[in-house]
Amino acid sequence: MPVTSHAADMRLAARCRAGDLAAFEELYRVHSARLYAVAYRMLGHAEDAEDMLQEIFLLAFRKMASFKGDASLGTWLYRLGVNACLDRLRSKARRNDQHTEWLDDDLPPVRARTDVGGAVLHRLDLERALRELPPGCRAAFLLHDVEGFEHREVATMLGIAEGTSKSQVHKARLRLRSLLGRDTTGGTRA
Amino acid sequence: MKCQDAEQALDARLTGTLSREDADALDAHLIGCPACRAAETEARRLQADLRRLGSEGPSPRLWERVSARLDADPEFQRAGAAASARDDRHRGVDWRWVALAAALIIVVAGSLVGLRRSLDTAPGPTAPTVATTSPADTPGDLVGAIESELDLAARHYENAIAGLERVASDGDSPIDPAVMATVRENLEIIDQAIDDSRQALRTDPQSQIAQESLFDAFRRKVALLQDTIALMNEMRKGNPAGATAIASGLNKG
Repeated sequence: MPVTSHAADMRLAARCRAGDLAAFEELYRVHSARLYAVAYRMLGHAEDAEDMLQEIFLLAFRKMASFKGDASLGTWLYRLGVNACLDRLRSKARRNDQHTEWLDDDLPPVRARTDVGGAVLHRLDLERALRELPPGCRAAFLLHDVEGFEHREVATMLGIAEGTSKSQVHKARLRLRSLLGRDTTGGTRA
Repeated sequence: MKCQDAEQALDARLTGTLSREDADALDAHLIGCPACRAAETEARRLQADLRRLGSEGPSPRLWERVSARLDADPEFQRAGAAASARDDRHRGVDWRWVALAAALIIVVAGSLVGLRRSLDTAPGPTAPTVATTSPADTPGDLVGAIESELDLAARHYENAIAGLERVASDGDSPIDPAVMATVRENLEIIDQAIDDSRQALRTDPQSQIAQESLFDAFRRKVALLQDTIALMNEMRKGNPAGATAIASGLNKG
C-alpha cells in the first residue's frame, strides 16, 4: 500500500468531504488497483469487481466524515472496500436463497478438474474453485490467507467467533486443494 | 514442534505475523515432516496464485464511470456547492484582501484630493505646453491645434479606459462587493476630475495646469483600473504575495 503522511491523508480526506472530484481522482489513482484486486477475488468476476469499485468510491464519499486519521487513508479505504464486498456477497447469497454460507464438516467428494501433474494452474480453474466455496467461507479464507488479516480481525469483520474463522479457513484450504487436484493430505503427520 | 502447532505457525506465517523464534521452530519441524512441508508449500503457492488474481487492475476507463457516478450524486453536488460558497465567503471577509484594496484606494483618493485642490487654485493662462510641437501659425490655429492634440490623446486614454472598465466590471469579480463599490466611488471622483479639467481647458485651452491635470486624471484612472484588474487576478489565484506587490507598486507610483 502506498505510504502517505498523516497530514497529507487528512488534507485529502477534507477535500474529498468537500466534494472535490480532483481529490477523489487522486484517491482513485493511488488505491483503485488494490481495491479492484480484492473485489475481483471476493466476487469472482471482472464486471462485478468494476461495479464494486464504483460503489466503494461512492461509499467512501458518504463515509469520509468517519475518517479520523487513526489509520492511514489507504487502510481505512481498504477496510471499507472489503466490508462492501462482504455485504455484496451476503446480499447475493440471500437473493439466490443460498442458505449455506459456511462449509460443513461433511464435505461431498469433489473431483479434481486439473491434472495433478500440471505445473501451471490455469487461472480459470482457480477462479472456479474459489466460487465453489460458500460466501462466508470464501470471505474468511481470502481475508486470512490472501489479504493477511489475523483470525481475530476476520472474526470481527464477519461477525463470527475466532474459532469459526480458524476452522473455516482450514476447511477452505482443504476444499481448494481437493478442487484443484493439489491434495497433499496423504502424508503422515507427527 | 508438533504438527498441530505447525499448523498454527503456518497460519501466522501466511498472515506475516510469525515471530522469528516460531519461524525457526516451524522450519525445523518442516525438515522432518514431509506432510507439513507439503501443506506449507501448497498453502504458500495457493496464496501466491490467488494474490495474482485481479492484479491486472481495473480497465483504464473505469475512473470515468466512477467520476460520472460521483458527479451525478446529489449529496456530492451539495457538498461541492457548499464548499464553494464557503470559499467565496472566506474570500469576501479576508481582512488581508480588504486591507490591500483599502490601501490601493487611499493612495488614489489622496492623490485626487490634491488634484482637485490644484484645479481650484489654478493660476491664469500660461504658455502652452503642447503648442511647442504644433506647426500652427496664428493664435486661433494654435488653440485649435492644442485642442486637437488634447482630443486625440484623450480619445486614446478613453479607449484604453473603456477596455479596462469592461474587464474590471466583471460580474464574477472576486473582490468583496463593498470594496468594489468603494473602487467605483473613486473612479467617479477621477471622472469628476477629468470633467473639471476639461471645463478648465474650455475656459483656457492653453492652461498648462489644466492640461496636466487632465492627463494626470487619465493616468490615474488607467492605473486604478489596471491595479483593480491585477488585484482581481491575484485574488482569484489566492496569492497574497502578488496582491501585496501590486499595492506596494501603487504606493511607489
